Amino acid sequence: MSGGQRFDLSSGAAPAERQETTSEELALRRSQAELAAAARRGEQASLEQAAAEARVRLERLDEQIESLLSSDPQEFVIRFLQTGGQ
Amino acid sequence: MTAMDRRVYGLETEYGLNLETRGQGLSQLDPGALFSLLERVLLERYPTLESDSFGRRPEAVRDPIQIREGRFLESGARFYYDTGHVEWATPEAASPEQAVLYDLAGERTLAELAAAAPAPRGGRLLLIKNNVDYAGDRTYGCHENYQIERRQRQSEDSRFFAGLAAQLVPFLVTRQILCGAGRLGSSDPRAAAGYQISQRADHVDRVASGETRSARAIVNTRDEPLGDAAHHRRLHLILGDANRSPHAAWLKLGTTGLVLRLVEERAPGTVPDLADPVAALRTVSRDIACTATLPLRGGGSITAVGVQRLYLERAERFRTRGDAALGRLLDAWRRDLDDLASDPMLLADRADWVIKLAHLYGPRLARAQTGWREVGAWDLLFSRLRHGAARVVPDLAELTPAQTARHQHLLDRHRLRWADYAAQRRLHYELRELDLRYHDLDPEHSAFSLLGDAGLVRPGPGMDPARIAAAQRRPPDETRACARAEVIRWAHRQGLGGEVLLDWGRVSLPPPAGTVWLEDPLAPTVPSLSHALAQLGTLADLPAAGPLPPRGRDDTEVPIHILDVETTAAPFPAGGLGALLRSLLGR
Repeated sequence: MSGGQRFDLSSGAAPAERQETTSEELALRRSQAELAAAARRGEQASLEQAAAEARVRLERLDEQIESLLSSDPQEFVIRFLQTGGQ
Repeated sequence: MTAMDRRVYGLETEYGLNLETRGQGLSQLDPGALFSLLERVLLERYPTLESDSFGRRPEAVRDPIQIREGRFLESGARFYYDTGHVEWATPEAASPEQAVLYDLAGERTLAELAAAAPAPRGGRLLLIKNNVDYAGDRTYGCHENYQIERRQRQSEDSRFFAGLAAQLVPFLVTRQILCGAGRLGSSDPRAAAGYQISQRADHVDRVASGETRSARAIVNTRDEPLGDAAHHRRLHLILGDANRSPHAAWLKLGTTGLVLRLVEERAPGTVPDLADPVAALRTVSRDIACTATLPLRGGGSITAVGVQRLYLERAERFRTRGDAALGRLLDAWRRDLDDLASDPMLLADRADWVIKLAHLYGPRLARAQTGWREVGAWDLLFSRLRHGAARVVPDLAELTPAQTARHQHLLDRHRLRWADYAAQRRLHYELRELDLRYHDLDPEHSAFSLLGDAGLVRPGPGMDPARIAAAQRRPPDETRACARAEVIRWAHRQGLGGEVLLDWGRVSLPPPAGTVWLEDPLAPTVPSLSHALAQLGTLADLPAAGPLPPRGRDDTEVPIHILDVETTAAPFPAGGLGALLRSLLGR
């Protein structure tokens, strides 16, 4: 991830202190979530080792998510055309 | 009548449908034929009986393209076809947890049917559990059903329902912060958004209405019985999102049930009088920081978290030491509100809209070195440039000098650069495809499943795989779904098919039994039904055993029409998809 990019957490109506989260903060939270998931799975490791493993797992997860994308997202989206329902 | 501490809950979900073929991408399918394909697999794998609304919806019966009554399964669930969508209704559930369990069982069954159905071109049938298509800006629903009490006198009941609606509205406007599914962009041209909490908020434009396909409302006023019509009715809510997160679906149903109980006990107290509930619904949906204030009639304002806290504090009166499930629900409601007040990102393991923000879009936006405010500004520009039925955002090279000049002020106002147009346009479509992939039911292709497998999403209370698998075939023990299952199993033992028809509240049996009513949704056994089945079992002249084809259809191959989507002109004639299908089918 590029450092320091602002990840807006509001559409503009919020107080300034809640408007944005940096990409580092978001990455940290994702790492914390992954660490918590590892703890729930009963995995034991030193904090540093666990953090490094969490980072690797998240990178692999991001790659897996990326792999879901088709070769032409525009075509995918415009062809997902549904009838209006209820 | 006392307030209901026991009621039945249910969910009905319309699914988005498509065919995905390797190398050819998506194709629009004839959705009615797709339904028939899935139905065929269903018949091979599950005992079912035909559903029949017994003429309750004559307008639907006249248009076989729009409605197919479908079938009930032995779990008590119903599989049917409605307005161009495969639809799944859970059986009557006796608790919010149970309703979610059966919703997950429905997801799993549909995913299995889609995987087994012989898709054209060797492709894959997509079933997408969401509420918006980003191409046509169309919506489809995930409706909630709650059994509520009915007052005896008409005038009293009308007043009661009007009061109930008024007391529910502030809760419904704000509960999306707990259970919104999250969507990209806006369907309201006057109010741009990069990202929204709710998929349905932009498609709700009034406070109360009985309509579902247009004029959708915060409170649907359709008056239908649920069980004994003299004492109960069905509250049919249509504003909610289809959830992938079981935790979010559980909170949606559970907190709504508690607020209904408050209203029935006349205990909600004074509720916030929102100045404009529809505007508030959209404000909350666009406020992913969860700090926006909602104006009150008569002055003052309140946040969405504040509104929810008011209802939560009043619902605490129901907490009792012996009711662990209720305790879990109240605790989860409080914890989620505390977390939202502290930092919405703390819900990244349980609220769909936050899960997507944290795990799908956050990393991608960071890589693109952009943020939601910028994405929202570009979305505003793109919404003004889209064209054709699929609302395609044109390439920069397609823009005329007059177009670029016309929109220069928008770029200036938001400090955007034409040099970023191509990258933002690509991001626009990548984010939308990711969003649709999150909602894909196929665990091999679903971003939600990837996150769940990684342990990053809470499974929901008691939602273990073995219970979900059991719920695919076994009805809830506490409701009339059991009676329906009894009929299905009996009919299959007898080799009966179309001679027995089911509706939610009645069974049509061969003579001399006739119609048997299942009046109490919370009665798993019905003595008159058991008696009728025993009586029929002794008759020698019941119709002979045979295969159970769908009524009115033979066993020939189901024809599938691939509909070419022309993205620059209206793909469907003015009469809608139904008219197109009728023309294709020569009807």
